[in-house]
Amino acid sequence: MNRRLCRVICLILLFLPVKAFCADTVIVDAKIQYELANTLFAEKDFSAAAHEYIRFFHLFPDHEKSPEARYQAGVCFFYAGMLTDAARHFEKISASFSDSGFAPDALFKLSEVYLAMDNPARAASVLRDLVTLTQNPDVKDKACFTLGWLLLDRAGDLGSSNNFKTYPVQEAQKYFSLISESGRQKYPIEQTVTSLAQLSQIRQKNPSLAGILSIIPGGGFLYCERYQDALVSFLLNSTLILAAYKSFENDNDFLGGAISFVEAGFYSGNIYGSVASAHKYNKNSQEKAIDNLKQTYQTRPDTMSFHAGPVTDGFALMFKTSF
Amino acid sequence: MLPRHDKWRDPVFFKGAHFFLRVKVATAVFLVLIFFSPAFSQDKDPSSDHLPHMIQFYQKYISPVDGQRCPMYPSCSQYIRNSIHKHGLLMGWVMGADRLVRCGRDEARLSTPIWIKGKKHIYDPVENNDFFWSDK
Repeated sequence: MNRRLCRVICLILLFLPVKAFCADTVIVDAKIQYELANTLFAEKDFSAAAHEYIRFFHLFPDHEKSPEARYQAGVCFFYAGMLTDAARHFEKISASFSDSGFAPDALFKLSEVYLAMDNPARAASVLRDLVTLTQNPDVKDKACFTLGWLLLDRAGDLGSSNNFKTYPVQEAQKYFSLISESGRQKYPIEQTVTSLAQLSQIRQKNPSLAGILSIIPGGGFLYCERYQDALVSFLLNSTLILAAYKSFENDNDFLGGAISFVEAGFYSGNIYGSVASAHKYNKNSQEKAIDNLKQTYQTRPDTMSFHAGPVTDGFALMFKTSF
Repeated sequence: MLPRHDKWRDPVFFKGAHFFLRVKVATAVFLVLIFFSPAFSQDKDPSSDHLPHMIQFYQKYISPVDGQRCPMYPSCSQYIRNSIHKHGLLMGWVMGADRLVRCGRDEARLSTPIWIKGKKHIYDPVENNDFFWSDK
């Protein structure tokens, strides 16, 4: 009887589906999952680490480390060179801004991402938002300092036809002035602010005056210290005007008309070029002054900087200091 | 001095007035040609290329024979093409004439140099000369 019962039980066990022994759910421990992501991050496998951080905040959305995991995912994508994904994660963190959370750091990182994407206008916009939103004086000082230098550093890219006269220099001055007294000890900007104030006093050319002076061909170029251009413009225009006059005088209307057509272009070009030269003169003067300012700042012994970011075939860390 | 209604009988006055009349007619013809040209309107569609055939002819047949001697980058003919493409025929022609005057002189001292195929050129694109009025 017992042997028969044993055989029946063995048969039942033999034909039972394997799945009956498997569980439908897998229990994942939050601590193990986070450690796995951190380990991959420490091993600089940023792409894999990013996905483990994402897995973490999807599996444990209410865990206390969930916002940190999302921030870390953004950092990993940034280091892996996946800038669009990095920006997406930092934007999500900063969507619900709070000084206590990761939002300020996320916004700083987001501006770095936009700079890496060669979009300084958007990077500046992010930092402007941070200055407006934050109530934390330390964060505000850091944001003002970073934004001020970003505006100066990328002034050439940020200037458009709408604001090229003011350039981003005045805005940089504004943000440097917002740095608190305690922040000024941390961020040395006194010399920078003084130099920026002197920027407005650099010698400039008046584009309208250049245009008026170019009524006499070459006059505008002469005013803008372009002596060779002035001479060529004067000789070319006066020769063409004389040629057109002589052609009409000798009843050669067709030749006179053709020369007048060409001369009209060169004369207009002389006026346009004079106005453009004045603008270019002003822009170059300001750019040179900013470059000098940057060199002065960068050669200060108390300045040092640390940069990290993706390069073509990997990831690079740069520490820069004067000695 | 001749009375006012007899001024037109004066050969010197008549000749001078006739001269200015012809200059005015020539200017009017020039303006009509420019304003009614299909290329006057600024290019909204980048695929449409209403460039004057003269520049294309120059670039295709004359420049290769003449040799690439323009010290600027882009070359003057390419600069005119670009400026016409960007701002239409009128402003393109004005900017092109300005560029021809500036080619290789003070611009060499003031603009950024670049090296193309081991040869030094002066970098002067359209954007360097229209930044104060155009965001395009």
